[in-house]
Amino acid sequence: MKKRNVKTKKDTTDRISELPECIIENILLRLDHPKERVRVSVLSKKWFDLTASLPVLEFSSSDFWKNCGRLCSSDVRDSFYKYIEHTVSIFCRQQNVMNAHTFKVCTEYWSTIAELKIINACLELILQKGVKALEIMIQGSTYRLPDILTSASSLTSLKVYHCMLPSSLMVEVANFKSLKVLQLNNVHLDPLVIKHLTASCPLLEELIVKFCYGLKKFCVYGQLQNLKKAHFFSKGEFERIDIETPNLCEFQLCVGYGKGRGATSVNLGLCKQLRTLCLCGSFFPTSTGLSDFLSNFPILENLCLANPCNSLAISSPSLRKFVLYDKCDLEDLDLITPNMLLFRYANAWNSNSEEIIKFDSSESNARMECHIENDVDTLWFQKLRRFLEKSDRFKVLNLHDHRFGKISLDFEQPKVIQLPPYELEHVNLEWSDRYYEWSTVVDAILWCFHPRSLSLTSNFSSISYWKRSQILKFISAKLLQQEDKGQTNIRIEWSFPSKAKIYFSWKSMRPELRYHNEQTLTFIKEEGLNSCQVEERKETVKGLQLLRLCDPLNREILRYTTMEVI
Amino acid sequence: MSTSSSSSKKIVLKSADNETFEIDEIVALESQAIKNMIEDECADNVIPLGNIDSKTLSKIIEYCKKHAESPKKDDNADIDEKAVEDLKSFDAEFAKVDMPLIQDILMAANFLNIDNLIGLMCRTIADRIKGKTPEEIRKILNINKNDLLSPEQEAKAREENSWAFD
Repeated sequence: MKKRNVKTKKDTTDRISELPECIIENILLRLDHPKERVRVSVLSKKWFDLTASLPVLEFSSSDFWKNCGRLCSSDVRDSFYKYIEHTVSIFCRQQNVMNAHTFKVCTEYWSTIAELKIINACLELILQKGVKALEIMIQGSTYRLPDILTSASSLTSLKVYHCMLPSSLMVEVANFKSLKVLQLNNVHLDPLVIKHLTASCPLLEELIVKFCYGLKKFCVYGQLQNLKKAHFFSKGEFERIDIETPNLCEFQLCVGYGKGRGATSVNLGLCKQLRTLCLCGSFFPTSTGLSDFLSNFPILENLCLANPCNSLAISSPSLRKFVLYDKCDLEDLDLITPNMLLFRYANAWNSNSEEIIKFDSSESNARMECHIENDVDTLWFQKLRRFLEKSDRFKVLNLHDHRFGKISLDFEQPKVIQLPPYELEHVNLEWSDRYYEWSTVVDAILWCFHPRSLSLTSNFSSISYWKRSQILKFISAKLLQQEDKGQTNIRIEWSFPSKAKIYFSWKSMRPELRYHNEQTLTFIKEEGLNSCQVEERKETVKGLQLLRLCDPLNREILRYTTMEVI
Repeated sequence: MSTSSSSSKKIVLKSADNETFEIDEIVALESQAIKNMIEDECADNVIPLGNIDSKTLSKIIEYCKKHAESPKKDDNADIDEKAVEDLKSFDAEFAKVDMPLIQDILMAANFLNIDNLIGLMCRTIADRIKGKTPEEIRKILNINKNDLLSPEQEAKAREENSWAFD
């Protein structure tokens, strides 16, 4: 085509400006600080127009505050509101722009009445521009959203934090006919508002209500037919939740976690499509009540329960992942779940627990994950062993120590009955910084289990070489004690697990791999003498075959460790 | 150009300076535009790309090869984090080129409709103009001097958001 022109014009032409406008918009959206956007707006007429008509208008006081360090705080505030006002008014004056896509305002500090007026005026302007996604967070001040919001039929997503809903919702239904996502955090809700809201959004798919007050009941009959995902989090009491909607896939309910037994009644009887269910709090006085409730959901795959009841019997052929936070004794737990892949058990609920609710992806091996959040003792380990034997399903055990619980072991305790160690494929111990107890825990594990391989994941870089070689020696010797003499070797691998718990051996690692503090030391039992041919040099001492490892990043440490053991 | 000896289907791309590149079809499918052509069966054996020079085209093929052989995110949630890291560091290395070439790649990626590559190039440009004054950015991007705002317009725009220019 015009290749000559392309060649000769190369360094003198403004080719960026020749590109379609969406490309420049793409660049503009990647300039996250408002300062950068304002600066590029004066580059040329083209950039000025495109910046002015960018349909994504996001204003966050904390983002704004960053990089404005030289200004004193009242100047920053002043500039922030002026910037909102200016950007919105210039956007709304653009003739060529039909719709605003996103409007987001977040202020994290108290706002004056004048400042709230600015926000209100901008919001009214932008609502007339048919905005699709609206997110408003006004912390520290009382701000009521304007009534005009209720006629915003173009909205597909509405997120409101720390504000009051329009007063017209008290008396009439809104026109949220396109709304698919509604999220309310720390918003006052009363029964009338809820009644009108649920009647306002026929297409709603996602409803998230967190820490809202004034609400004791949430009942939906025959409305919200498209609802797929619903979350309710409440600090205080909650009387009743009834949702009768056929398409609900995910439901989470957390009521006053950790507090006394509330009496919330939950009814999701018609939600036959439910796949993910999370219940934190007490909703069923008896184990049978819970079992009956769960039997409503024929395709339930993910279940999370926190503090349900003292004993628990769950029978579900569809269940694949089950997370349980409870002091509930493993002895009082009965699982008939033939397709379960992951059972995550934490012996107490703590504030970090919310993170672990997530049903992340996992390997195909059925595994049990234990999070030690509370004190455990010898008896606990024995119960864990019995549980694994009884369920006869999990071949991989992951133990996580979270520093919250104390581990006190006494193998001489009279009430402990010694059973033969239970066969497992693999045990992984994720260890925090309590090195002084590691040998006791390894002892306890090998006292209860007979694994093919054992790994220890920890921040080994913070412990001494001497200590490391001790760990190597100790664990290898303990594992060999479980086997017939002379038949078994131990292969040791260092690896650098990612957060996704994917293990790869140091051998396949490339030199450019970043150094991770967290490392895994895996001990693998192998039959016969010729099983390891992979490494450059091998040495055998008393049935312990040790491989000389050379990790390009950590060469010295490994060599030292190896030497020590030999 | 390609040394791959597998029996998979090949596509030949021809650059503006008449250089040809034989690549696996799977690599070519990274480009939505070529994918559409193939699906509509309007692609001949040789696809002429009259507005992309061979230097730019070979860069683009390098990118598509790497991305075609990496597992896709949506295929499978259990994606190897190492592969993701690997692809990230490839992208970071790939973007270490001068601005004229970035712009060439961006134009070509826009023409060939390769979403990830457009995103990568836009991000690279954004990163390079961060923290710079408008004068510096004009130089970096070679902004057309005939399209500047009038001095009055520019002064007004700067005045209205003076906090961004100190």
